[in-house]
Amino acid sequence: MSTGYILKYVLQGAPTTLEIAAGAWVLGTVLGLLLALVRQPGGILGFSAASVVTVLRCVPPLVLLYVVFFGLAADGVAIPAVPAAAAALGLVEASFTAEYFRAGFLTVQSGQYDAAHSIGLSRFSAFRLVIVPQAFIFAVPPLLNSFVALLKLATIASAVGAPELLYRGQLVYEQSGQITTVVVVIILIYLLVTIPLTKAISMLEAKLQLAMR
Amino acid sequence: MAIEMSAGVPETLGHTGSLLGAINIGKSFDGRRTWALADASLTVQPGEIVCLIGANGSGKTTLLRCLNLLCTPSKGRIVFHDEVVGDWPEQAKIPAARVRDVRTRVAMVFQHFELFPHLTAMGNVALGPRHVLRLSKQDAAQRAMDSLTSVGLAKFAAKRPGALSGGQKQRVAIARALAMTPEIILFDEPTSALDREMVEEVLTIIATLAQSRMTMVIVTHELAFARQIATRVVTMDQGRIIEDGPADVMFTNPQSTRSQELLHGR
Repeated sequence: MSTGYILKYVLQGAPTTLEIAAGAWVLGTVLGLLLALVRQPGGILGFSAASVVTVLRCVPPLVLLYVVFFGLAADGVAIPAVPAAAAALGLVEASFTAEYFRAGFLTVQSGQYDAAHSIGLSRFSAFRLVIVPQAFIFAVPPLLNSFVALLKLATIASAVGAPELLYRGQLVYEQSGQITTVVVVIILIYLLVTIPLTKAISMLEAKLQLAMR
Repeated sequence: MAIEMSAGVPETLGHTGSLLGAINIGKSFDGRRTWALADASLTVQPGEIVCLIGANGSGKTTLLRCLNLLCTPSKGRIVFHDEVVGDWPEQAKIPAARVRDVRTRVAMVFQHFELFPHLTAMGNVALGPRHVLRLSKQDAAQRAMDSLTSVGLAKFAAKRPGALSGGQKQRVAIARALAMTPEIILFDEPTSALDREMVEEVLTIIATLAQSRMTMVIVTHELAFARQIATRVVTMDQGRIIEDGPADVMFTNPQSTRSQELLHGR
């Protein structure tokens, strides 16, 4: 089997990999922000949000995927492999983005709260208009880096038959027996995507730091 | 004449016509073991320019923050237009709407500017008019531009704080306060964080406000400037007001030794 054929075959899994990573990233970002916001005031709600974050960070992503895909199916809720993978990884991602946003909130100086309140903004408006935007800007670099991580983590979806890059690689390996070629192709595809992305994120981070002086 | 403050302070202002006042204000940050502010009483009449002068740690900033409720006093009262806004410790909680109402009329300019870095100068100044005063987007933008023009920064409206000098940042902060059309502006060491060259540009703006009869309370170490614009001088030390009087009297004949040290360096 030619290298070109293997490359073409494996590349057909790229859209699925992107779909899983993008879906997980969006879910993780939204859920993570919600968790961070709920955690802010403290109290029972804050404690509950912190507990959710801890549990999600401690459960292996593959186990979460099995819970979503097999566990829910056993209860009669059948979710297809790709959405199941996006959901499971999204939950994992949420536990990390909650911490990015929490760190972002901590980074915003107390003087910003004072300035926002001093012009008469309510607590909610101060948060919405002044604090969250700054925390979000702080969280953007790690958020974008986590997308790169999700692209790689999407490979666990092969465990439930989602036709992403690794799964396609496994199939073509079974057909060709050319493990080295298959692995090199997968690695090259990932390098070609993640290296430019990582570089672009570093440049964006530098620009954000300059703008937020 | 200058009044040397001891225990004799008024319990209530009655109908004094005062704009803003603190009565027997005390603030402790460690459960009343020590007092950052102890029995401070200060009333401000419309049109007055009160300069608060004291060493670092004398309670000036704490008093200022209590006046616009950024800091909750441990005891005492804050009065606005002769109405009691808060009475501590009995009334621990003031309705949020009342607090916001006071803050829209009592503006504050901070030592470290505290501009919002994610917004342009225009965005910083328009934020209050748009989201607190509920002006339309166009009206808020117009008011912001008018405020920026009044401090000489109209052409910097699209710049973010990161692209501004310290003096420009502080002028934007003043514009942000002015855009709320406050009745009184509190300045917390407005030039302390600035290089010498930038101090003058900020003091010029404050002097212009003084000429327009804006009521102000200014915490400052700039004695020459205070001598130039203050109508009244209050000296503080170790959380207490030690002397309070007309500026001309305080600068020529302060009564207490500590005031003499603070105002004349002797």
